[in-house]
Amino acid sequence: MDRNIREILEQLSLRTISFFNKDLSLKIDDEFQLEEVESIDFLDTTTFISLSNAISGTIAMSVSKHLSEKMAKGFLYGETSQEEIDSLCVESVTETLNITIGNIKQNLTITKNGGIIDISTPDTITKSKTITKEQYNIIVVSRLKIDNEDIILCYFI
Amino acid sequence: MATVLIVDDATIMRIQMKKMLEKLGHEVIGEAKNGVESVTQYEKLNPDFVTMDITMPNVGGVEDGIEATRRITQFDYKAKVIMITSHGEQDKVIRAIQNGASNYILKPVKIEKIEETINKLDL
Repeated sequence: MDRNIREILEQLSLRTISFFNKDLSLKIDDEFQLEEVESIDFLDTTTFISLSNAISGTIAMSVSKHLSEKMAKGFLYGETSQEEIDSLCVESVTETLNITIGNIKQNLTITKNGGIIDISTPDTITKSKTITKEQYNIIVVSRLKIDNEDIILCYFI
Repeated sequence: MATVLIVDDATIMRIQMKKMLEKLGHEVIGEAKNGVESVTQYEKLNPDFVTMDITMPNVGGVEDGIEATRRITQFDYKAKVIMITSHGEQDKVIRAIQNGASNYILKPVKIEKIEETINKLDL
């Protein structure tokens, strides 16, 4: 596995775990494994952010609708209505990936060595989607677990 | 207690910021979801300070929070603008300060950090 991709997904997984635990107050398992896969089925809500310049590829975060609702609740400080949660659960996934990628960027070896990584604006979909190796050369996945649900972090190029 | 204008293209971040600011006893008198709106709202509302997301979509020729800050501080040289950035990008923060921003906060935003930053604003 390409060491840059490994480093990005490892750091992103660790930052995601920390973000869920500390910022969203959602207890998440602290174990994860990276694996190169032939295909991946994304869940209900998926955010994509592309990286360019010193490294290229796309990172995805994918969660169930149920988990996105919990994430929205975690974002909102204090009392929250169900209506508010319903309207903001998609944005909660978008912002989570946007923040966590931003947070790890400075710590990557490429960046420390002077490389510049440009981050695209996030794009979020709320429908099922599958990507395969027929479409992309490399698909690497990290699966995080929270209450028997998956959080899929994926790097593909 | 100060009056605040919140600028962020993400609704969830505006609501999160509003709840934290109100918890700290401040009054949110306006919200804007892009740079153009923020300039218009600032001129209309004259808040004590602004929280401004650095990265926002280019609308009406205002490409991001840095350009919006430049326009606001051009309109009112005493304007106090706190930049909110998720990227921790030093170059963007430096450009924002050069364009009139008072300070910055990294996402994820913590209420303690907001309070500390507001206390430094000399309101």
